[in-house]
Amino acid sequence: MKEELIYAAALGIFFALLALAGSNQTGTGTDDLAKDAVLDITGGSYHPWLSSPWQPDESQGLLFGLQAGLGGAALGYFLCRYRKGSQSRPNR
Amino acid sequence: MHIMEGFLPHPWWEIWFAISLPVVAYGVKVAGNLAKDRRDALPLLAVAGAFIFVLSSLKLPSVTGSSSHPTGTGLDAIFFGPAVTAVVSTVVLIYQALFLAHGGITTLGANVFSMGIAGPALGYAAYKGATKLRLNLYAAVFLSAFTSDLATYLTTALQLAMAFPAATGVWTSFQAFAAVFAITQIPLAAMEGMVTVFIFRYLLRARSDALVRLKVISGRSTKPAEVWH
Repeated sequence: MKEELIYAAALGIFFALLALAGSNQTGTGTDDLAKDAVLDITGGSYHPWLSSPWQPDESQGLLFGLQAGLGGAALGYFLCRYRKGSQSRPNR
Repeated sequence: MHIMEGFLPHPWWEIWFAISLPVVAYGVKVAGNLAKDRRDALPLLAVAGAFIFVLSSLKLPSVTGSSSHPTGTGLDAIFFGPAVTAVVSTVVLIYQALFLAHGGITTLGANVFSMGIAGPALGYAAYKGATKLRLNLYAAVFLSAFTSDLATYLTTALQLAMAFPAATGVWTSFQAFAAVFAITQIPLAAMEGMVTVFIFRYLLRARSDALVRLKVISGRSTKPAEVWH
């Protein structure tokens, strides 16, 4: 169990940091470029008919980091279990 | 590939909900049967689901100077098929819509269709096609993940083109949206293919028996070039 938790923590932290680094970069996302393309095609006349009530702004990077961290932890935990399961099986 | 909240006009957002909902409902049923009858496959489902959760959270720079997200859906599609992948993708997209304002609830049907259904279905078809052609196993996995990723973004381009046709037609509009997505996505899809091969190889070496039971590979041999059905 201890080994699984170490794997989970290692992959969780690694992916959380990777997601944080990615969300802080300055390059424009393709989702934003697609929005611009919609405005180009419609001559700037189209406006979304609903916007998200919650705009995380600066905390968005942290929330992406949380998503990556949770996913990475689960990935590390189960990959370690698979590895240990493999080692405990008799060779055929 | 996230179409933002409120960006799809009526009737498109309803149409994509109507198309995606039955697939997700079927996927829930398949996943339920899996949980009941094939409990040994559940850790693999957890790995594939976590892989989607991780990869779709990463915003990566590409050669064009813009950035985008991988999808991570190819692995899940190979193991469990597109319907179960649609369920996992729906969970991820709801999280991103509610907590990250990335995508949206009104555009959830369209985003589930592109990321959870069309991309994985084409990725699954690519894996099956490659196995029929007896390509190297890892090449088949790479092709599947690459196809899943790129097809997801091309589907989004098509969805936007149908909702916002140019004066000269849907095709012109599709070209404009595909130019935004595809050029950025090709290197990221290739990277996703390589990472997916790495994880697949790990799982194959650790528990090839689990992959045999899921009929991902045949039981005759676990050597990469000889594991065809």
